[in-house]
Amino acid sequence: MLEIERASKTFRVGADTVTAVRDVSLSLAKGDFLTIIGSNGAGKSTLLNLISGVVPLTSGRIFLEGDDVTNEPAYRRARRVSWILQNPLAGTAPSMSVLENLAFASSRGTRSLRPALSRARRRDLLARLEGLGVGLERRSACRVALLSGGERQALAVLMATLVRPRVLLLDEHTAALDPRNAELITRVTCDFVRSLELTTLMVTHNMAQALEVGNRLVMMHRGEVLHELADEQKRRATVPELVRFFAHREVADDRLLLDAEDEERACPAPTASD
Amino acid sequence: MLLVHAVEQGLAYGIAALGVFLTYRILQFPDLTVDGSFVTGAAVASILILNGGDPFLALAAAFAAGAAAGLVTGFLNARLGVANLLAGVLTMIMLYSINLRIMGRPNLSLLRAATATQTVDAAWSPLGPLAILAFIALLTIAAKLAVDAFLKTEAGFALRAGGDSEAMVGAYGVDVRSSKMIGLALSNGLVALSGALVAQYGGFADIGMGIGTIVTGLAAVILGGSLLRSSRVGWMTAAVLLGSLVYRIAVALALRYGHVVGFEASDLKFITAALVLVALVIPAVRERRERKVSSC
Repeated sequence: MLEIERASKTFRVGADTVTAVRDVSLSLAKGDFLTIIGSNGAGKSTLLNLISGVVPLTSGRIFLEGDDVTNEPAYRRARRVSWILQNPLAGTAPSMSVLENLAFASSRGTRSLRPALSRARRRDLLARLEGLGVGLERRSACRVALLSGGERQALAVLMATLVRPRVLLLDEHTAALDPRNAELITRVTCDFVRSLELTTLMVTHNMAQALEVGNRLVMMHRGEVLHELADEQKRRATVPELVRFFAHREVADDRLLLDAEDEERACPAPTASD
Repeated sequence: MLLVHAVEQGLAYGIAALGVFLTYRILQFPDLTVDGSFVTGAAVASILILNGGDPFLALAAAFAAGAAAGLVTGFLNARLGVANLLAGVLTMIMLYSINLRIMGRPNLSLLRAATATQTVDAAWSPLGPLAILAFIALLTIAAKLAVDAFLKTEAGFALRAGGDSEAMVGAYGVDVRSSKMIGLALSNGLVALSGALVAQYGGFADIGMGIGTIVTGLAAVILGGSLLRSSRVGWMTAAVLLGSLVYRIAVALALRYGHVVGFEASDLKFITAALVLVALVIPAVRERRERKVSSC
């Protein structure tokens, strides 16, 4: 489904260069759900941006369903790849209503002069909203600017999966939410991933979550993939083991370890609220 | 009669205000091209009419010329990466020379030519002095409904979403650069149509007639938006036309009675710009004050 061949990305910062992703190769089969953990600056987000096409590669190739998409611009790749960002403000159009946002997402890539919200489509989209189960169907005519961060992110998840993508990219899309909403969005996302059998990559700082969801896990450090756990290995792994691995390699930063400690006490620290 | 003329002007300039609304409110792109494309519309229509062309087709030709000007600004900004304000200013300055080329001289009189308004005045004589008003109103309402209909299409949704968040529309398969170019073309087409209508109605085209189009357009957009608040497309464009009407009526009253308090006709642009400035600043000041109170 998705093949990444020796992908590298080097950013120029003035006269200096920073290599955010170094020689990463990954291969995902259809339906694979890969979680990516690593400290700040490990290159996790950049890797997702390379796959979506938002950031062009410095070297390497990316194949999607066998097609070389290395030089395809992001907006064209978006026909097959969906992505959701951490910031709930960035993924939806605040001046448009909930239903209008969904209509925009459902006519992905086509820009005809047909009405965007026909009666049939309105009915279909309302049913999808109801299926989401967060009560947004009662606020379908509200402008998105009036929604909470959690509601916006729930809407973003529905928008990203409305037209079934081949690959779904999640970049810490629950990190800006309070714990209750984060859990809700995680559940909603996992429901879609399972029912649509989506090939998914998820970046997270939360080790427990990285172990809990998905069938594969990679750890990144300084732009490289250090370690991969798959299937049975991943199912058996525990947070303390991951922490030990990181501590051993001296690759974890404070945030990652602090989060991990909190998770061990089964009391996740509230991240920034929305 | 003062009121009738003010309403006629409010509607004729209202089409330009709809164009400014498209860029300023929908695309979030302050487009200064309009000061040039308004004259382009007037110039193209006037030259066509003076050379025996159909005055109604001249309106359509003006729209096309304005749309081409908008595409140039869109190309400078979206493809060449020139900042939005600068892209508009550069096109506007280029248009000054182009408009002079089209017109051949700085001023063209249409007083003895068969303009659309004169044709209508003769043909719709049962309406008496309201014939021209009816014609302009018809054209303006048609433009409003066309803008409404476009903003409700898939292409229109892409335009609106792109104004909200450029990063987001890319994620849904839309090239934000081409949506910007479409929006700018449509906007400047409307502005040029307005220029062509104003020229035919006023009986002349002048190289300086476009100065301040952006400011009067903004005045209508902001004034209308504060009189009629809504997030529904049809109401938003109605508010723009209402703003344009109120503005033109206020101007007519100021020109008629302003001398009492010492205003002269030449003070108009200063007063308009000052009013727009106040309208732009008030919300920001109010927000700052509210934030201060709530942080106590």
